[in-house]
Amino acid sequence: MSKKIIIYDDDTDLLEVCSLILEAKNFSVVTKDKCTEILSDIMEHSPDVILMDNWIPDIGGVKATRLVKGSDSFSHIPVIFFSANNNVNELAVEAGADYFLQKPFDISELESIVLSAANGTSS
Amino acid sequence: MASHELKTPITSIKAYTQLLAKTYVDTDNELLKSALGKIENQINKMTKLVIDFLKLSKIESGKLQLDSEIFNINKLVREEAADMQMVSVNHKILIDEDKPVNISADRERIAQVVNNFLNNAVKYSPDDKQIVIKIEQSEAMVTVSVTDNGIGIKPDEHDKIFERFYRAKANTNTSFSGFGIGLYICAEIIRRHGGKIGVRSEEGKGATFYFTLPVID
Repeated sequence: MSKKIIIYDDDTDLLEVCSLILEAKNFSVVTKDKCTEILSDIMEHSPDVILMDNWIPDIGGVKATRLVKGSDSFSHIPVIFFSANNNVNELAVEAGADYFLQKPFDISELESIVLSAANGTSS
Repeated sequence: MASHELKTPITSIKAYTQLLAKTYVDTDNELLKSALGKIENQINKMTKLVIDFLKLSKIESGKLQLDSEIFNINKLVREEAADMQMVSVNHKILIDEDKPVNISADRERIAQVVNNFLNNAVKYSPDDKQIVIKIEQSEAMVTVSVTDNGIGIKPDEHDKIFERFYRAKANTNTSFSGFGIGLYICAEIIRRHGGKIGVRSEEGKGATFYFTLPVID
């Protein structure tokens, strides 16, 4: 059975290409260009992994990740924080995310970090 | 904000290009493979350029933050030399050092300067084999120099090459890419650490780029 990932990013082209890359790795992919309803999204789709952008409407990736990590029901879901900001590692720590990925990335880096998160291993 | 706006489209273009290259890895269409490889090379150059411009903008707006830690400059130089040796197999990078020297500085930024010197040495001495890095302490200062036997620089350009956007005029048919930002950033980093940066060179006889920094007893 394939693992499921929700990708949050306000760039629809990036959502599409990340979907193509991860579907080729047998992931079931859900994409969202807003993170306003993140807890409802998780409830509806039960993802194994979340890939979260920093600059995303309406509340931003840091707050959205905090909502997930502050929830008793969903805090176990690994969150990969990805951003073009140079301090993406600090933002990931601030948000409480489990992994971070600097944009632009090689697709091998994306595949590797998502697989690690889905399998609960360190990247 | 600028970082996000500039890098986001590059992220999508790079991912699509790599996805296409991966999809068509076994194709017989050599033009397609070659074109995708060239597009990716250009994307990587553009990424570096964007990062350099962002650094430049931080320097000029006074927002470049410098951290400070005590570290061994010899170790940093060895690490940078080893990294460069891996990507430039045609050159032999030698290190001439006396005793270990500790400095208090922003390690990442000083590594950036050493890396820039090494990159230039490799880039401007395509037909030469040897690059020598020297670490010398003289009283309260350490000097790190990188010497190549490449195309060299005219004496009247020695000061200008550390100016923003200045590019030395190569008296050669070879074209060298770049926008004249790297050495300007290096000069700003070294100046803000209380050091000096410079070059000794004659046209056609190689170049020695050096910087000095205060040492810790």
